[in-house]
Amino acid sequence: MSAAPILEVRDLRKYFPVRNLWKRRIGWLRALDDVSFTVQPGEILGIVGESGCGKSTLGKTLMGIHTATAGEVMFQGQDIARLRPHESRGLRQHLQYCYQDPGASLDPRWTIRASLHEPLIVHTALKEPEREARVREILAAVGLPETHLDLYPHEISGGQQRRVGLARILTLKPSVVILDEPTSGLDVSVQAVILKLFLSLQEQFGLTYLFVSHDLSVVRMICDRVAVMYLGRVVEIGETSRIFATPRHPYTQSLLAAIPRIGGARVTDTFSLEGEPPSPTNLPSGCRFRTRCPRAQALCAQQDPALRADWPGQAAACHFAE
Amino acid sequence: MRQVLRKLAEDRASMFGLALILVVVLAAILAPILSTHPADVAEFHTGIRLSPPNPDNWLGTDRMGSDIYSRLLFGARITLTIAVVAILVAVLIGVPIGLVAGYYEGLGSDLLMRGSDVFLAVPQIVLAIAIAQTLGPSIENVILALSVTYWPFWARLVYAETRSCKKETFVEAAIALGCSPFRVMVLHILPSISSSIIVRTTIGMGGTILTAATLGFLGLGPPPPTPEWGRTIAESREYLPMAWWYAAFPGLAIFIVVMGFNLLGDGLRDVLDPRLRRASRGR
Repeated sequence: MSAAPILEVRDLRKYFPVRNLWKRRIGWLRALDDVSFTVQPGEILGIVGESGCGKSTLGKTLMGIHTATAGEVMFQGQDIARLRPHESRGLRQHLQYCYQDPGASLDPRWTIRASLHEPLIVHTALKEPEREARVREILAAVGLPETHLDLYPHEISGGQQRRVGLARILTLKPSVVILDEPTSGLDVSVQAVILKLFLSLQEQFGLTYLFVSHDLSVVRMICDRVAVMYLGRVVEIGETSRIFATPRHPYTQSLLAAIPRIGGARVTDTFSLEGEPPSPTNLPSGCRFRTRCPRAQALCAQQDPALRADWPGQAAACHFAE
Repeated sequence: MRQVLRKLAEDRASMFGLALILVVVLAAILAPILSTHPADVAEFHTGIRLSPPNPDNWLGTDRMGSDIYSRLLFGARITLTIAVVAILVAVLIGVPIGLVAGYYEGLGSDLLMRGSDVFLAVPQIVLAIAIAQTLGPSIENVILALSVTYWPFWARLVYAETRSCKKETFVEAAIALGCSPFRVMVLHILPSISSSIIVRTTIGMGGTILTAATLGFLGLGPPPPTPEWGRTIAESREYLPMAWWYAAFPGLAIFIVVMGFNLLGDGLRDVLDPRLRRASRGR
């Protein structure tokens, strides 16, 4: 790894209490369990995994929407995991979160203009004309006509809402943007346009992306590195090309085998995973993947494997990965 | 907003309600001009006491010989003042409490809501009577009694609406963007829950007027010779059923205002709060 990381996550934990009828805590839902990784400036780190593996929780915990149970998030030399909401407000300017559905992140009662001005009102002391200039500049960058400024979110299309959502975040000139499932629910053609937009914006504003997605083909296309998550833990992380060429962790291997290919074998024939992932409230002992792992052995039930960086540019958490 | 008004204008019942309210409001404002015996609020003419409706006293006279029509017009001022001020105070207390309690989670907001539960646990009218009785009969005390008893309704409503609104993505996004809690509450949450507040307030007006009249009826309202409607009905009891006009017209006046606010409130709810409308249609 080169240079100083822009974002460093160390043993990040987020447990949600599970309560019974009388609000007594009867257990923990371990949404994030000792997640560690670093992000280099200017890179795109993909975070992939099944639904419910903690991808979105990771994004929201980094943003401070959820407070972390334990662990550190170092951003610009400061631990932001511990900060209370009002303390981290200043840092928010540089670390922004783009919702799965940026359309829903716009106040339905506000015009696009009002929504785009808001981040600047909150974080800067700019006067109205200066704000307007910045808003128009960003709007042009995301490829929307200025005539849209006076429209309401429901008056524009889903793809345009996404652009507005993105523009809203970019007005603050952040350094890191967390993109939560940015392409889900879009037509393939619109997906491609949006992805191109992400890349051109990255170049233009020098952004670093955390790209949360379950769409492996999209991740393969645009990410520099990928972290694969399973039940609140990073099971494999590394450079995209290496992970896709030589996946080490059995979970990654079965995930990659599940990518549908034109002319390839049917997904149902090659998919090696059986059953559902265990409930995060009731994790198996040792390795949490062992209940579905084709290579599980006695050791796996006893010892939880740590991430091993045994390969160049790649690390996996499995006792038997080679 | 324009759309809402247009839809409301198409609803005959709520337009009728609005008309009733406007009539009463105009009557209150123009009382000195419209009344035939403006001085009769305080003056009495024992010679013509309890006369039935006639060309000079359109709605008859009361036990003091004062013109009931004129007294009703001036009574409208009192009723509307009490209702508007009391509701305004209740909204000003209830809405911020509900917003804060709904926005934050924890002991503080629980305490606020349990506090409002205490007020809701006692029947409104009993609490209002107790307060008005303790403080003594006057307009200010009626207003105070009503606002103290009614604010928890708004606190409850706003609390519940804020809770659900806070889960909306756009609110979460505003928080993630770094907006201050005050900004989120006032600029994002409040506007999106304003329609239910407006509906509740309009319907609440009717109830408040009724309670105010009840307090007047029980002698806890403004003291005589104030032409308060509830008090007038109370006075008339001794002369019933002979002097039917004595009770009937103030009663009709109360009926008209309450009816007006309820009809308008129902119409507003249909237009502003589609969820509730669907529920009532299925009935």
